[in-house]
Amino acid sequence: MVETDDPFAKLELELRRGAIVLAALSQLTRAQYGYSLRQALAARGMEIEEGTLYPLLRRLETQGVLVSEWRTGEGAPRRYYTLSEDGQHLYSRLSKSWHALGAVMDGLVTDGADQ
Amino acid sequence: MTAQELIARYVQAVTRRLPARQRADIGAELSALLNEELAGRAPGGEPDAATAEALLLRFGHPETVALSYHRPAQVIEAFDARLFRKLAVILVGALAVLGLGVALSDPAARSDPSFGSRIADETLAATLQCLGGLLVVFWIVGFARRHWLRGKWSPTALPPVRDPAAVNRPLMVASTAFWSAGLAILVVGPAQVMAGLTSGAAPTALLDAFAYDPAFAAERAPVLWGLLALSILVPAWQALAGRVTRSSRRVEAVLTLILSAALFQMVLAGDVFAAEPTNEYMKLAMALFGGWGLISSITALHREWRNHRGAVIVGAQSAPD
Repeated sequence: MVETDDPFAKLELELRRGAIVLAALSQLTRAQYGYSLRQALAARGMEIEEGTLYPLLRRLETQGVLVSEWRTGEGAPRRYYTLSEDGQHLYSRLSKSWHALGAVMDGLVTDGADQ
Repeated sequence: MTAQELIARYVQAVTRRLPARQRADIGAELSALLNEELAGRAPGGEPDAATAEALLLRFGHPETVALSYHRPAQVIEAFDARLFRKLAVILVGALAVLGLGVALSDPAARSDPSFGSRIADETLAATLQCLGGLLVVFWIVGFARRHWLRGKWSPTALPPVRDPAAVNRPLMVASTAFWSAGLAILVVGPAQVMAGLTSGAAPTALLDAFAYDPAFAAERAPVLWGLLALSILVPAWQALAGRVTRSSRRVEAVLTLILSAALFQMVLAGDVFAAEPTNEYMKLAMALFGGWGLISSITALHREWRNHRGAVIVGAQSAPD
């Protein structure tokens, strides 16, 4: 959780904050634990700070969007998260909203650049 | 210190700020995740303390991380904080003035060497009790608002936009009448009024309790009555004018400031009533009014000065070259 006074960094952080939930949900159609989820997102170009992602998973679980369980296979015990039934519906709706918003924003930003 | 010790300390620092029922579970997960992160930063080797320190610094302050796991309800809600601060300052200031007043005016102060420290202890205890009480009141109000009062609302149910210069004439007249009646009772004397109303049937103890201290009645009371009368004239002036003018606002602020200073001076100068505890309660009330008046008049004068300065700057900018 890096604090900064740079206006660009602040606004970019705000911009990304709204996308983080959807990004996390997109990777939780199969069970992942926090570290593997962060790595998977980073590999796709979505770097999320540890201090932001891990508490977020707990909050989403509290809201009923995710379900979790401890697994003790090989190595240390890990808590795996996956989308709950409600979470799957939510993810589907949020994805549609994201695409619609993306189209609108593309139009707005392109118009802004042309003016 | 090893990397593992650092992580254990960090997990403890986060979880001790969480509700007890969440501590073990979140602690176990956080510990597992931090160890994974640490192993990822030292592939194939044993991570050192410096790597762990860098990881934890990046993760965030334990308080911030704990808050992102669990945000407890505030004891004082954010929008109540200003009012709480104002009331707390007034209470502390008033009790300090009262304590000082008792210490200066009580004859026992000269003969008893421990009198000063006893008054200081009593003032401190009273201050802490008042602040504690204030905190409880704000906590109850916040709790009630969160659980019962913050329900549905409608934009049409919001109060109309207030004209800051408009005056509620009936209210102003009623307020002037109320304060004038109060001042008349003070000038005649509460004991004399009670005796008159009961045709002399009031118990002597009651009349004695509300008898003025002779020195106060002879020397300080006329000044106080005069200042109170002047203060009452302002709302009367506003009621007549129908609007709060800039002049009346300024006169009101200056008068309130002078009255507050006079109230403080009188609390410090000596007794108001001859008997206790009436005298102490009256002094406490005077100190509280003085504190409230001091803060509100300084705020009002500062606002007037800021508006005046803004008007001067705007005037200078719009003046032709």
